[in-house]
Parts: sequence; C-alpha cells; structure tokens
Amino acid sequence: MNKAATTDVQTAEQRLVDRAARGDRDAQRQLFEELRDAVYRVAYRLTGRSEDALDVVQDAFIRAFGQLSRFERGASFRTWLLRIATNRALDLLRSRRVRYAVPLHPVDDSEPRDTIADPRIGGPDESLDAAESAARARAALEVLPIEQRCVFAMFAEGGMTYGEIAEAVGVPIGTVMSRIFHARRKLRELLGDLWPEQADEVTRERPG
Amino acid sequence: MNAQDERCRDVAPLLARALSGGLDQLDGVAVDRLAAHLDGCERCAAAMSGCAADGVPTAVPPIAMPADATWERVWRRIAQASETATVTASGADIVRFRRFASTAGLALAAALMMLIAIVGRLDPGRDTAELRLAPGGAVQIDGIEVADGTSFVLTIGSDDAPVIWVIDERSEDKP
Repeated sequence: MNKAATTDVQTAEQRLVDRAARGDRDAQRQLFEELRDAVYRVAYRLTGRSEDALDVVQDAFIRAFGQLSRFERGASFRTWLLRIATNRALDLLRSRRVRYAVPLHPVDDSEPRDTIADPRIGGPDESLDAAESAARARAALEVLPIEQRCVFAMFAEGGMTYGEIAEAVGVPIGTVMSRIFHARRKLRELLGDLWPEQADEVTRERPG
Repeated sequence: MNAQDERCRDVAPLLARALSGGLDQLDGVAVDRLAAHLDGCERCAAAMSGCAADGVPTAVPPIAMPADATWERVWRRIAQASETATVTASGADIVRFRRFASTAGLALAAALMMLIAIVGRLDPGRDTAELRLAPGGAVQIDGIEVADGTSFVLTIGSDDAPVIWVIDERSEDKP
C-alpha cells in the first residue's frame, strides 16, 4: 500500500473513531466488524482457547469504546485496540489456573483418539486431524516465552508491522524482529512435520 | 564516514536480506547482531519499521473463525456494556456534582461560622445565631449556638455529610 493510500485509510479510520467517540453506535459497530477478526486471531494465539479469545475480543472493545475520549488523535486505533487485547489476554493467562495438557508431537495412531485432553478445540465440524493440528499448534505456542508469543501473535495474526508491534509492546524494533525470528524458528522445529518443505528448511539451518 | 555509518554499512547485507523477506535464511547469531544494531540505530530501524507478515509462512495452521451468530452475540454484549457504561458515567457526573456542591457549601458554611464566631467574641451579649445554608440543597445547617469562647471544628463524615464538633471547654473544667 502506498503512502497516500495508507493516509486515506488512517483518515477514514480517524473519522470512524471520532464518530464512535461521540457514541455513534453504527460507527462502533463498523469498527467492531472491521477489526474483530484480527483481535480474535491474536487473542486465540495467546490464550489458545476460542472461549477465552471471544472474551478478550468482547473486553477489548468494551474497554476501547469506554476510553475513546482518551485515545490519542492521529494514532492507530487498530494498534491501540490490539495492545488492549494483548494485555487482556495476558491478564487472562496469568489468572488461568488450569492448563490443558496437549501433546506437542504427533499423536501415535495406535493411541486412542480420545486421549486428546482438550476436546473443545475446533468446532464440531472440524475433523479430528485438524483438531489435533490445532492442539499441537496451541501447545507449541505455549512453549514460547510469553514475550515471543505476544509479538508472534501480533505479527502473524494481527497483520501488524514491526513498527506497530514495537509501539504496542513498548520495545525497540530490533527486539521485535529478534523475538519474531526465534518464535518462528521454534515453531517450525515443533510443527515442521505439518509442512514438510518447511521442515527441510529448518534442518538446513541447524548448525552441524 | 563516521562510526555510526560504519556500523550501518556492516549490517547492510543483513538488513537487505531481512527487508527482502529473507530473514529466515540468516542464522540466529546474525539476526541477534542485526537486532542489536536496529535497537540503537533509528535510521535502520525506520527502514524495518514497515515490515509485516504478508506472505510469510508462520508454520501454524489457520484459525477457525467464529460463526456470524457468535459474533452477533458478542456485539450485543459489547453494545449493552457500552450502554451501561454511559449510564454509569452520567451517574458519576451527578455524584461529582454533589460532591462539588457539598464542598463549596461547606467552605461557605465554614467561612460564615468563623465570621459568627468572631462577631460572637466581639459582642459578648450575642451568643446565638441561626444559620441556614442550602446551596443546591447539598448542605443544610439548621442552627448553631456560639457562646463566649466556644470553639468548634468542622469535618466531613464518611458519607460526605458535614459534622460539627463543639468543644465544650467549660465541661472539661468540671470535676
């Protein structure tokens, strides 16, 4: 996207935010519809559970709409909202007492299928294999240090740039880049068998 | 060329690789070196600032998104909560106004009582004053007696109501 187009998008977003700040319900709804998917994806990658991610989405929008008068004009509403959502998701993770055990590595076919500890992953229409992959992805993400998981979620699911993530998380751009790199490398080590061509790439990069 | 420029030149190949989407081809040591440089160099950091995940494989399966009906339920809860927040905010404004009125009223009452106390001392024959202050209905004092040399203290109670403490110095002297 070129600079002029980016500015147009920002201006349109600002107009929408201004209307939402005045309590315009239609503007609030439009913001919700435009940004809910990105917020949900980031929240899902952080919490690993659909119910929690939906709670985070709900909370993030309620807080954002409630604090719109304090929103800095000219800043990115999307970045601000994703920062609120990320903080809310981290609060949820800290308060969560029960964690669900899921296998990091592929489940042995001889193993009974009902040993997947969290059967709620995925919708009822999802195949068991897809549910298993989702469970493994979630478990792999839980292996990452929380600061890596945050920037990875914002990068991979929130569609945010390095600069936006740096602003949202409050760390320099180099640190963002490094965290994303190490997060992706670890994930590819753990989940590489799901994408054989990427597993080969990881093998090439390994020292020795 | 200054030292900063030299450092930029040293990492230029790494930066170019990162900017062209080839960060994954670098090893961890090179990435950490580039990261350390970016953290200390605004110019190079600005070049990386706009990088996003477009087309970059993330090695995690896509997320199944909630159904429209689920989103509708979430939106209804958000709208409902925002509505409640607006009402609560209005209520908070009323409370703030009452507190302001109460504080202003108390200040006025205190000033008047001090005046009465002074007048009472100047005119020993006058030891009673009727006082009624009700700005906005927030503060109402029906009456106060001031005898010669009697002191009083005005405080605010836990429910924001004014409390007048009359110090009866004469009773302390009694056995």
